[in-house]
Amino acid sequence: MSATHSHQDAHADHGHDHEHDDHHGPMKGIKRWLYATNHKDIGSMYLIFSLVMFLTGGLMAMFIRAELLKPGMQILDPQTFNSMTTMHALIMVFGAVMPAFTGLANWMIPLQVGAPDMALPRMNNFSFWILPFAFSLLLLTLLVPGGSPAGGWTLYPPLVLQTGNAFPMAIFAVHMMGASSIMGAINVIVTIMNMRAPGMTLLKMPLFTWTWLITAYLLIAVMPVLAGAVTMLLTDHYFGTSFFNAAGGGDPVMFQHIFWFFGHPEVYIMILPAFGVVSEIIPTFSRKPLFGYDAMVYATASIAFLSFIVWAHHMFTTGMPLVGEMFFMLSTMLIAIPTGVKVFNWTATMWKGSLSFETPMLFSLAFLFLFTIGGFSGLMLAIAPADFQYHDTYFVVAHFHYVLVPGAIFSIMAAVYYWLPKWTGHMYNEKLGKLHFWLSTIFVNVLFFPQHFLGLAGMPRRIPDYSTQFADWNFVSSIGGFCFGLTQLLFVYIIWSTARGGVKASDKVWDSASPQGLEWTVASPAPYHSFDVPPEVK
Amino acid sequence: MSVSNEVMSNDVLERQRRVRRTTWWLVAVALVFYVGFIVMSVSSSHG
Repeated sequence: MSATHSHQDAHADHGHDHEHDDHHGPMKGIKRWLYATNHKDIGSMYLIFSLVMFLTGGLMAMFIRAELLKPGMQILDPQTFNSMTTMHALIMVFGAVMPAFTGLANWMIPLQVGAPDMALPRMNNFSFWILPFAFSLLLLTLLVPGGSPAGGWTLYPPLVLQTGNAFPMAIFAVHMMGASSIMGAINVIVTIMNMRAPGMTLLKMPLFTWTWLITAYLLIAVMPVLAGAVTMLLTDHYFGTSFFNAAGGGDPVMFQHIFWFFGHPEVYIMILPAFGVVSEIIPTFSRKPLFGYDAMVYATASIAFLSFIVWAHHMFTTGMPLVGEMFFMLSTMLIAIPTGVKVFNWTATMWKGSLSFETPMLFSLAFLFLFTIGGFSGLMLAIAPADFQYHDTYFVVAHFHYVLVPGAIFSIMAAVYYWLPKWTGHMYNEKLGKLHFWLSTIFVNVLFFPQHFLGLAGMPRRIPDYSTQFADWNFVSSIGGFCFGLTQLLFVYIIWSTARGGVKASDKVWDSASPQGLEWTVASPAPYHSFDVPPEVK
Repeated sequence: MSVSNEVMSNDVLERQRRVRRTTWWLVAVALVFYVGFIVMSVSSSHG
């Protein structure tokens, strides 16, 4: 793809016709952020918010690992421990990973499709500003008598109905997060479908934009399902309904079906944009076009479709009919095919490429190896008879953390290093970036790999204490956790120092690698208004 | 207004219409999933 368009121009905004006031610069002070409608400002707010949530959820993880450092009860009582695991998960899923990808979408999708902004800028503002209220409400549940929700992020009844006064607060917080996600998703779809530059056909779009388009459809289909499920929990608790109450004719297992109809696609909501990021970075640093672009698009769509018909693999032990177990086992295994296509294509892109290993590429390569480990353990869990052994053990914890930490979170870090110079106009310190990469990669494995052994040895998840035979690997895992947590402070420092100054980044940023895409045709830092005149894509 | 301006404003109006149409469709889909799952749950209860 090539773009004919002069160096935007966007600066041109101040040069031409000022009949309308829609070419003004940013407002001054706090108003710039409160009333923000600019996709770059809103993208930055999402990213900063997600970083704060990442540190908050990470702090909770440190408490969890401190409690599990050795057998016996150390620093948390069991109720608080369970609150920590529940809140850690809710904050990391809805507060860190999803807003980080939405921030990347806000920043990059208009730049990648040649649009001046998101299609619905005011709704964009609203969908961001809901989030601080939602998470304040969720965090305040820690202070409510009876404690915050402690039944796990899956909110299974009847356990979750034992939550005290915090229950409606948590439900309202989940509703707000859902509303925010749905609005964000609508904005992404409307922007991509209606705001693309002339010549930017769907099959010319960058893979990050493609994966986000598919993710947004997933969000619109499943976030209302989560909202429906928690609404029914609320009415069961306060209005005497019996959706999930067996005594009143309801069925608690039905909640699990509804929750996982949301929950499994949610997993792909957190990983498809990661696939998009990696599909941008690997070709750049291989100095080759992406191998099998069309296949990547179709593989993404296939994964999204399959994500709707695998939900009950989370529920093999609930006693479903054999034919149900067979169906969900085989449909889950099918996901390995399009995922395998992706891993093959990333590898083939690097084949005979002129590789260089800047920090974004290193994180992408770690993603490739470590996400695949998470994928393989997922395949093991998909085997129904084996799952009866693994279910609710630390093997599951190891599996989904491999998918989400060196998977989703490493891809977010890769994206930040890749596009930070475009956002700030400065290059980050490559030595520090590489140090951050190596420490993160070593410690993430020290943290999570031993959890496979613990799970296979039978250690259950969500327990504050354990038998002494699990002590050694728990100790190793906790040390890995503390070191991984500390390493992330380096990430914060790198972002902060790059935003403040540093070596000036060129417009192409990765000059020797000649990255492709419209985002590299605008100045660094990206001007406040870009693509006032739509670029022509050939 | 010159012809090109007229064409441009028609384009802008058409785009606005498309944006609005897509938005309402997506809102409708989200509502169908929200209400649909609650209705399905009611009908599968045996109270």
